[in-house]
Amino acid sequence: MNWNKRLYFDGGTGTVLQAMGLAAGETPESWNLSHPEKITALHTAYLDAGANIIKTNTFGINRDKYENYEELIAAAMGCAKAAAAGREEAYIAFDVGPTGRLLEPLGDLPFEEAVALFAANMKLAKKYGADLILIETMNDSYETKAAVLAAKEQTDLPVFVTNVYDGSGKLMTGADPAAMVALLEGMGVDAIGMNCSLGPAQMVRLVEQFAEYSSLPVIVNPNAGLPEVKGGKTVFTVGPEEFAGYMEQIARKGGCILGGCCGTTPDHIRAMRQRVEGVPYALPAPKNKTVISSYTHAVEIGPDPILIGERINPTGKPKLKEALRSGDLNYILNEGIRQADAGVQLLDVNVGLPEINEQEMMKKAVAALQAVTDLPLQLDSNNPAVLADAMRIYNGKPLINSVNGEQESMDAVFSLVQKYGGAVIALTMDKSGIPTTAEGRVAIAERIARRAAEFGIAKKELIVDPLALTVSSDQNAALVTLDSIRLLRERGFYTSLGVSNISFGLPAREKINSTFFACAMEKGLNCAIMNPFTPGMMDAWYAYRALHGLDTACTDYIGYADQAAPRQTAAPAAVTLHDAVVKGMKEAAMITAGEALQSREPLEVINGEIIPALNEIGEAFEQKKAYLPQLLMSAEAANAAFELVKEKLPPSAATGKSVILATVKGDIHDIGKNIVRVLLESYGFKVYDLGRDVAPEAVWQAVEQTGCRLVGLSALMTTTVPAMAETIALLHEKDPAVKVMVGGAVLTPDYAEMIHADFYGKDAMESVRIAEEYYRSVC
Amino acid sequence: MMGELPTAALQANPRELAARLQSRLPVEGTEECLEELRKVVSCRYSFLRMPILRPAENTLDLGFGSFESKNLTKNLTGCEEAFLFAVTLGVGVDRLLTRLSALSPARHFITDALASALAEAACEEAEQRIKGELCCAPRFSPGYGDVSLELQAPLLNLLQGQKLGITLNQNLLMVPTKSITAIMGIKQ
Repeated sequence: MNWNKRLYFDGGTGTVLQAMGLAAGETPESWNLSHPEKITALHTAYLDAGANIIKTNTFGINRDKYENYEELIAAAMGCAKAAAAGREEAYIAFDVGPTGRLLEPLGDLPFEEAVALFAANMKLAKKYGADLILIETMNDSYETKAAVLAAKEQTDLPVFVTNVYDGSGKLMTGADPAAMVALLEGMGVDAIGMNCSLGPAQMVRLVEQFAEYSSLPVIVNPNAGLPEVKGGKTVFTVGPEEFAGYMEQIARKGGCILGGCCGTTPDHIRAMRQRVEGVPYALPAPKNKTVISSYTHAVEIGPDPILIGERINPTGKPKLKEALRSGDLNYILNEGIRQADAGVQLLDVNVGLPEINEQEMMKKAVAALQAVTDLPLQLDSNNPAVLADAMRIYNGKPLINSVNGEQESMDAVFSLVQKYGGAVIALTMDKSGIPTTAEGRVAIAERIARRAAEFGIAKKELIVDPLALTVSSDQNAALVTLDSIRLLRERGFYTSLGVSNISFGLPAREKINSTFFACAMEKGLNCAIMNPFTPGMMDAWYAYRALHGLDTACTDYIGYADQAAPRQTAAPAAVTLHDAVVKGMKEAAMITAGEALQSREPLEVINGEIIPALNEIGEAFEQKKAYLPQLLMSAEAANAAFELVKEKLPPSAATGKSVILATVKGDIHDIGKNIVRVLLESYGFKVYDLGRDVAPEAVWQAVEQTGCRLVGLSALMTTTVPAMAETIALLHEKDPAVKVMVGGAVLTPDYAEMIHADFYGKDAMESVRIAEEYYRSVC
Repeated sequence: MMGELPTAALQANPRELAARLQSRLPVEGTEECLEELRKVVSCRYSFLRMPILRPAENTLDLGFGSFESKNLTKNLTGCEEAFLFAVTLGVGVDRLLTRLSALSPARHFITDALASALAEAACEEAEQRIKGELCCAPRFSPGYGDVSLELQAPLLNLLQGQKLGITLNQNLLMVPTKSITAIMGIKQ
């Protein structure tokens, strides 16, 4: 394609076809077979009006919606080819619209299934000779990524992407233009932009944002204004001349490929082309920005140091190790959310343990984390296969931790970055180890940058970690690292450090760490992988930013200082652990449990305080003297206390009582199940929570893996009770010793018996009684 | 026709909220949960005014295919037109609920109850804006009475649910989960 001049898309399809007689309820794509001559006439009208890219009439076609999807696509391509035949410059854009389904985790379309759906279309785009792929009207970044992956894996055609931004300048699922630019540039698409939803007037501001971030040509295909209803019909009111006027403004602000969407007609395109033709054209200048993104926002690496939370990494963390071994994702999620609340901007995710399947766990952790936090992730593994899977399903442009100067490392990591996009932490080490001088470390960084360039990866995507080695074994270690940072900054590299390594083997490590952190920032450090729960590190960061003009009016610092100031203690001395649990006071429960543990045995605290308090509130609930939210808050307070007590218990004293919980296949309601979980946990049961919408086979797998033979199933809808029956049948068939308790809004004791459940729990308290009874009977 | 509802315009009905919270007393923490919830609500709606066709006894056609329903036929007695509408609190609410589900069952429960009550309030507010001075029959939704849930797909299609961000999962449940579709007859 010729990029050296402005290109013009055609305009609306559906709205024009309606004017040509498409009936309500009739789909535009059906006309590919029933009225091909009209589709060809539409394309011809746009080409005559001055468009040089036409969109095939394939927006709504996919394998799930149409059995004859290939026939429809072939016919659409035929219409486009007939219109383009004999014209000097008429490109055929194979049009790809959204699936209409929402991807997991919020929806139920698995990411790989979305990729496969799009792939089926992409293969046909290639087979029938499209000139480029246009992925359009996408309002979800994750679905956009699935479509782009499919296009890249099935074809070598240019890929154009336009998303739908709303009045607040974001996609329906939250991404802003900077985040989309990062994601799509990383994946190597050819042009990006916006279409539909807004009129040209509202898009002007968005075009400015794209111009700021994008190094790729920007596509702008607005509607003919915002829709209005007149005489019971939706109409678009911006006429051709007015439209052209706005498009001229858009061209001046950097719009490179211009056209229209709903409500625009060949007249709009003709007027636009005449008006815009005189506006000077230039491709956007390459932007030298280093950006990481999530599904909502981009984080730019630069003079303002970025904090990367290090807590999701099992090294030296027994609790996380235990969580990984037992597949407890909740623990990982809580670590992620707590770090986000503590103020980090990125989360490092490392789940490598020799005894677990790191590849599977990494995928689960990334999927779960990006469901609960919008922080961009730093994917951390030394196994390229683990990175490959994680990068594929990551909803954004990740930071990769890490590459080093060894050939195999560079080739493996850079080929992944080439495909999925990403910035990379580059460690200045290779086969011969870590150079002892700053110059030696910089030399490795430069070698890594040269190899990256051979993969088409710009130097700006590398963030060099010159490695901090402990000063306890080498007095010069910190000085070499600090000097490396200075030198790297001079050579145009951004830098990162795992700060806490510096104090390994020394007492009161935080004191060294925070001072070293301040020194490193002074030398120009851009990112720190650190523990945000250490006040000294946070002090250093806030103070540094305030002192270096990075914190306007010291607002962030003042907010931080206010928050960190000692507050009045939350628990008045009079509150006992028993009261704290009954009243659902989580903080007070933790404080009083800590106090109780100083003078009493852990088991005594559990059996003498926590359990009686829970029984008290549980009985009040059963007698309707307390309400469900109170019961839940008590259970949470008890759990918080229980966690502290557990740390003092020898491992052998753990109760050994466990329950598997799941909401059945097809049911996405998990509140009831979560209520049961928190109550069981507060009574000391180990709960394997499989989540919601869980297939029967997955429940059986959990029984096999954990050896736990008590299963709790929840269903809220009558439509999913058959799935519950199916799950029970499978469990009993595989192992008659498995006992299943059921509960949920639609169940009754009779219903439970009919589907062969072993127990029916009318509420969460009863499920605790059932579980206790079960363990009394089997012991 | 599409519109947005400012979050400030949505007030949960206290009685309904109490029922959803299963509590007759004020629940501690509700205010904080509401504040957190309001930050992520992005409420949109769309509606159409359609003629009511009655191709056969107890059979209706409101522009998204004909279907049988005694209940809705009765509900629409005396009406020749109906408003169809869809309203959603947006996918941010689902994200918040997912997050709370991992974080705190108590806050999850309270926030879910609040969100359901706000969705109901959004539906009320949308209804008021759509009908204006017109007198309307009580709202009816797919899944109520003998109106099949299967109608959700063609109804949302006609209402351009996709532009509101409303999708259906394989079990015909709407995602965002705090979304409502409704049919409302216009009394002459």
